[in-house]
Amino acid sequence: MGRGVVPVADVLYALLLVGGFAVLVLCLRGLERL
Amino acid sequence: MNDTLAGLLQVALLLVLLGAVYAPFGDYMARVYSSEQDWRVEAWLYRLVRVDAASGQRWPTYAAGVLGFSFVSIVLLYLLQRLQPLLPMSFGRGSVDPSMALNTAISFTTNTNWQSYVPEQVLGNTVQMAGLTVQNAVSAAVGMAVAVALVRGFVRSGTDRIGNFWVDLTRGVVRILLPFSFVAAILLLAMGVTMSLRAGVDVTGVDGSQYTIPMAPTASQEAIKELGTNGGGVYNANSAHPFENPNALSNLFEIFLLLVIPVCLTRTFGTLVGNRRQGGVLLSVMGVLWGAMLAVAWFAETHPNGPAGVAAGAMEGKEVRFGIPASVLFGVSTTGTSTGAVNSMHDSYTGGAGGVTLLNILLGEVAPGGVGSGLYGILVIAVIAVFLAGLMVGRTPEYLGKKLGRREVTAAVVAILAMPALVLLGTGSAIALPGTLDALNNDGAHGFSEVLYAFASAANNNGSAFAGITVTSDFFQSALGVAMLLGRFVPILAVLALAGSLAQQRRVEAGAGTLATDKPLFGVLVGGTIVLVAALTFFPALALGPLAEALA
Repeated sequence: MGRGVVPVADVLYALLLVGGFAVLVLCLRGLERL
Repeated sequence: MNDTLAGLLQVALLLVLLGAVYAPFGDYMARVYSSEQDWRVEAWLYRLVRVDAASGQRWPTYAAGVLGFSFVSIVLLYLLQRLQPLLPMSFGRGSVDPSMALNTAISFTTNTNWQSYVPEQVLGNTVQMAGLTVQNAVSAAVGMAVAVALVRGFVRSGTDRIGNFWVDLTRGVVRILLPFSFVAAILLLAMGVTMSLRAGVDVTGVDGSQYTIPMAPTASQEAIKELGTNGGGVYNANSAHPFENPNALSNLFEIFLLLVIPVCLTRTFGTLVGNRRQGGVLLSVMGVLWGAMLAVAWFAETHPNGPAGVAAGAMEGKEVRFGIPASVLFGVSTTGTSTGAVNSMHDSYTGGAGGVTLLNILLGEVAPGGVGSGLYGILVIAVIAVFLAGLMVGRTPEYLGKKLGRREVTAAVVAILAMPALVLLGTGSAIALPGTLDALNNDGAHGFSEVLYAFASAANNNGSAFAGITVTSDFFQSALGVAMLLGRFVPILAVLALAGSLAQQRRVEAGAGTLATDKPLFGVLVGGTIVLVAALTFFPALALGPLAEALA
């Protein structure tokens, strides 16, 4: 693993995680409106 | 004693043990979640994190607590793995790759314990103990908290409060999981499971070669791994490794541990709703499904086609010290719960038995299901069953005194359909990618089963692997990570929405048109709904995989 690769990969996977939880928050909001 | 008799005696002993603890343990858990008294250590924890334990929460607040706690857990677990070289007792093991670290962090936080890494080569003791073992306990407590919140929805009337997530989480850990896993760890040690903080033991082999046998804090991890229906081993071979599961007694005890909370939670449910027969009906559905799966898998493994038949059974991938009965008993129990620990390689099972383990997961893991997730899973199906009864025979759609209207049925349907959508879309996407064929050890129907099993295991938070598939590519790490995340929390959100909606309603008295839900007929209806939903959803996929292989 190159020295410069680590932060980029970490940022990308952090974005994936945040995106996943954003979907869940949207799901929560949608269920609130049922 | 022949294998069949030994196997039947083990099943009988297991049922006797579960029967003995069913009432006391189920009632104890009911008291844990309904008690007004906080233990001193709990009160101290609430003060530390500034939680008002006396205040109830609306369902969106409860759900936000679940999501927030899980998000922070994933971030902390990710950082622990990435910063491993800086931690003590890492034994020179390096920083875990980002894709693997995120996959593992999601996996253990969602109670899945899918492992795309080789534990004894990748992780040191600090990550194991401060990271994975902690998540084994708290992720199980999250599942139990959600189940109890749903039960409160049925019990409470005219309120928008379904309990306090932080209180339920704390009590689940402090009063149930920690004390019982401590006792279980001591018993496992007495049975021969290892426990060591050393990196390994250097030995000289019979050929004079030098080897290092990896050591790990096994017993403490093993206890909560089974009791919390987690399943992630400290060794790659999981419960097939002699340090994790050395003999027939430890094997039976581990099966007991992974079944005990999901089974006894049906008693907890019956006690909390004030009608224990309601819990008994759900337990009987779970028991019939579990028994049927065990019978089919046992028969398939002892009557294999091809060369294995000559050897009087399919012993490939099984430990000789366990044999076929104890292997399929473990396999059916680990896939019927959301445990995912294995004492034999499911990839080596015959088409029929392999199909049973896969179907067990695809049924939504309700036989008897994971810790908490099994109970709320089968309650959601019971809601659908009541609704179907209303459509078919004109019964008024009400369950436990609560009317099931548009909001309740919509929430139940979201909870049920999230998993199949993730499994089928994930499998379809993976199969469409050209690189997937290179990741498979087999082509044809068996190769398809390997991919289907991976996504079924991830989206159902099981964590067992069919094996035979290399999942270390960025695509599989990410796709399976997303499947675990959404497969865990979308149903949880829907279940909490259902709980909130039910709690707001006033209780209605049973009338002439009310379906009796504490009678065997309702059990048949719930069991039929489970099979029907899975069959309608997954039959084409199963036909392409294990069915094609079994009939070939």
